[in-house]
Amino acid sequence: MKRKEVINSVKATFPAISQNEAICRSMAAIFTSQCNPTVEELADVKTIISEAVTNCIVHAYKNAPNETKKYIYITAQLYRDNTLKFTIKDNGCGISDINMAMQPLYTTDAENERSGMGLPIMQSFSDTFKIKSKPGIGTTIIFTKKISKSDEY
Amino acid sequence: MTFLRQNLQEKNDILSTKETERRRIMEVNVRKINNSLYISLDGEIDHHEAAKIRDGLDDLIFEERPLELIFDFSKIRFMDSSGLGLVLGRYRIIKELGGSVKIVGASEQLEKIFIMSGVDKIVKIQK
Repeated sequence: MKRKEVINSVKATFPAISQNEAICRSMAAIFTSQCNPTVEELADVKTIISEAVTNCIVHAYKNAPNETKKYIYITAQLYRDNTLKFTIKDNGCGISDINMAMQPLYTTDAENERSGMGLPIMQSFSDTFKIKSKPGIGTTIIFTKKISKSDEY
Repeated sequence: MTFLRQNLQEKNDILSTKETERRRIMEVNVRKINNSLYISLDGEIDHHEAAKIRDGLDDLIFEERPLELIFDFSKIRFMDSSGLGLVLGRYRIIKELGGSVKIVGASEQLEKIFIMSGVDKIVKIQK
């Protein structure tokens, strides 16, 4: 039995509007619930998704020209070993300095009360966390979270 | 005092976002207790919701000039870093006015986020 075999997956595309923040994290919560997560594990996944989707809306597409198709692409995969893998992708402005963006409390949008804790929270709440970004092309966030198994079945 | 109560009631009506009553995402209730504003939040705090309640709260703070803001988070079912922005933004305003901020009723998950970001160093977090 391959531990890394994908046993379930979902793909979804959302317009980058703020009311979809709640819808995206609910969708992620429903997908996660099949792994029988603890309350904390479920809350962690919801928080990471919420941060990632918010970033697409408030940063990636902030100054995008009108003709840009402002969509957020989410995929979720469940592996046989109860690991969840999520990718959140946008075609927005990209991040010019990822190391700077990862610094706690660093924000480019203080006037809108962004706390600068989005990326650090995402990194801390996930097991593995990767950002791929190209200025002018877009950003992809990939994270995994292994859900503890209460009993084998 | 009656005027004050009326004023608070009006603001509460605005803050409790009547249009989302059926899919109640966020409800805000503000009471004035002595020199404190007790802000009770019910729902989920994300960027979408924080943006909606921010201005109403600030109007109230400038009108009432409280010495203390108390955020009651006991009915908050979800919060991301937008909640940090909401608390820190109000902290900056109340500090200018010579006051302080306190958070009560935060769940373990919320506390984890507050501690991670160092908010607990400037804002009192009470169980």
